[in-house]
Amino acid sequence: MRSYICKSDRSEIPKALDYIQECFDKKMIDKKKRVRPLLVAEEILEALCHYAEEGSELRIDVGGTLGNVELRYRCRGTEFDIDAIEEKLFLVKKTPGNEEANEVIRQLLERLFGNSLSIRNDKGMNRVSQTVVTSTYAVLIYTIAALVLGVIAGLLIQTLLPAETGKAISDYVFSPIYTVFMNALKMIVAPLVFFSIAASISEFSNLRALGRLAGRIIVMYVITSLIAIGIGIATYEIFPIGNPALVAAVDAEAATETIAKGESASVSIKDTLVGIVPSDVITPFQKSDMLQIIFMAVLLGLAAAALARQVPLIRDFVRTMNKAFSWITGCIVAFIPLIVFCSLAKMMVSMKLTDLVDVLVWVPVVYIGDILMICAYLLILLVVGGLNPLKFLGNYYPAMISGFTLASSNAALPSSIRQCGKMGVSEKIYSFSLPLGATINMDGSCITLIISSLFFARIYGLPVTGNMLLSLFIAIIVLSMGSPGVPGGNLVCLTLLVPQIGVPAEAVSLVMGLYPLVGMMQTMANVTGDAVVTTVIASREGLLDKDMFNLGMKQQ
Amino acid sequence: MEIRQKRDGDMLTIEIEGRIDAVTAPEIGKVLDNGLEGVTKLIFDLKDLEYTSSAGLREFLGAQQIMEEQGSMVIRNANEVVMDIFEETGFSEILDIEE
Repeated sequence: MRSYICKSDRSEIPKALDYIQECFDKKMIDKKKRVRPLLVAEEILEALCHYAEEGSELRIDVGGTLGNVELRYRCRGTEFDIDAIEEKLFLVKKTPGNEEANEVIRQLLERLFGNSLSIRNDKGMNRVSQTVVTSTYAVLIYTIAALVLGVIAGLLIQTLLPAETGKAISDYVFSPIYTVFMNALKMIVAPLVFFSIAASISEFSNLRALGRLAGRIIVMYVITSLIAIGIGIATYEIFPIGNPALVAAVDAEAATETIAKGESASVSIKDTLVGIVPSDVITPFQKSDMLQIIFMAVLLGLAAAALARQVPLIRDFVRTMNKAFSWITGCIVAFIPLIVFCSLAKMMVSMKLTDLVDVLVWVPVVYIGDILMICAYLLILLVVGGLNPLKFLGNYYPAMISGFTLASSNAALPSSIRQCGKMGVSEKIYSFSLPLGATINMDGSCITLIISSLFFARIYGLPVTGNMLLSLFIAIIVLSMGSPGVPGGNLVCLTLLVPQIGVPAEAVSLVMGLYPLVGMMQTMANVTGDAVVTTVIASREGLLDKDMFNLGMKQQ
Repeated sequence: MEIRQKRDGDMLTIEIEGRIDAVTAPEIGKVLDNGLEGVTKLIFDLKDLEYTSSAGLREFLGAQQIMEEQGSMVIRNANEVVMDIFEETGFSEILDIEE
């Protein structure tokens, strides 16, 4: 598309916004999805004009590949940063309600700007880059392409080069890159999960005002998560995937060690429960002991919530650290396609192609688990809510498709809210229940985590004991509630989860390349669960318009 | 942007025509600074409002803060574009909007 050039004058801003609207038309961006980027664009243009050199030109370009859309702005002028844009929006008048109002504006700015802006000044030229659309398809395509290329590279090396050469390439090229990334992931996972859980729990004090209703919703969310883990275990019993030959594909030395440890260890359920409480705050991080980290995170979150008024700094600290570690994780996770390539290439240097099928089966098994969970939801609607499950599907399916295609509960939230409203659920419930569910109710993620854990346990020949299942149960429930809201957040949770059952974190590399495929179905299960719980509670509280629900999509 | 005010006892109706942006938003602030004494019900009639930026949202929020102390505030007749902005920014849950 052609660039747009105009004078850096405020009077030009409406025409510049018209150009941006045209770009959005050409990129076929949905009307509602344009709202926030347009608000942000206006603020960027205001700032660029405010700090512009007299007589300078403002230039706007639109770019992006594979479904990503990015706006790029350039204008000569003095340096500024995002604070300069944000400060202008805060209320400065001294009125009693100012603090609350500025908190609302802070949340608005977080919603608008988030991680979508990059501002820098390059020798007197202000350059702003605004991410408008981040396509999930781009991530999927890069990861699958890396997977395919990795398999091809590994097979070519195996077929065309002598075994020693192949091993040397694997040891000196693929392994070091892979090891660096896995170390980075293992480094970040404990603080990320710690602050993510603490931050989630610290927000709970806002729910006290909602009282009984919020309590019932949270209880039901926990119950559906327990059902999800049960369904995950049942699905795995029906399809007990996991070929021990895959062990060698990860790291033969570490694998032998792990299996030996697994065979000799016998920890009782009592020890597992007692072991949840650490005796100091440092060792859990050193050992990446997840249950102990979760315990400390829950305590810190509760403290932050309880002291929110007297010492707001604690909650701010937890939120800030959560953001910092989320950002760092985002940077590490951006390298996933490279790591997938190295991991698959390393694997295929010594593995048969047929053995790869033993990894690929993980995807359909997780899909089956998610489909069974959706069936369980429909049963809950019928038995607990007394509602027709087919009517629910007829009303809610657009949001389910959103969940599948966007692979993010938060991104699918507007669609979920819209469909719940259209099917007669009272705004009084869905306005907090759906955003809450998008954060703490991840039944699809529970299924992925449990199936993956049992898959790895079989690969490493570790017996599934009651103790192991208890550890997994507790950990998965808490992790799914406090799961980091970053792309690849679930993969990160898996990296922390599996060492608890004696599987090395490196095992996660077996499924890393396939995660985006599973993420889509998982999210569809997550958002469906949120809506089912919301609808059932609404029905039982008399906050569901049953005529609207039964009339369904015909009316729309 | 044009602002029209109608006062009826303790009820004040403010009609806004055109676009609210960073340049025009402060005019709303000036109206609110000078005209809310004795007002217990404030109505924003947005039937002629084409668009609002973040600066406009800020002014609505500021007005709501003031009216929470002395009465109530309601927004009426917002068009589809403005309603989308209220919904996508979460302001539809903060402001009292009548359809």
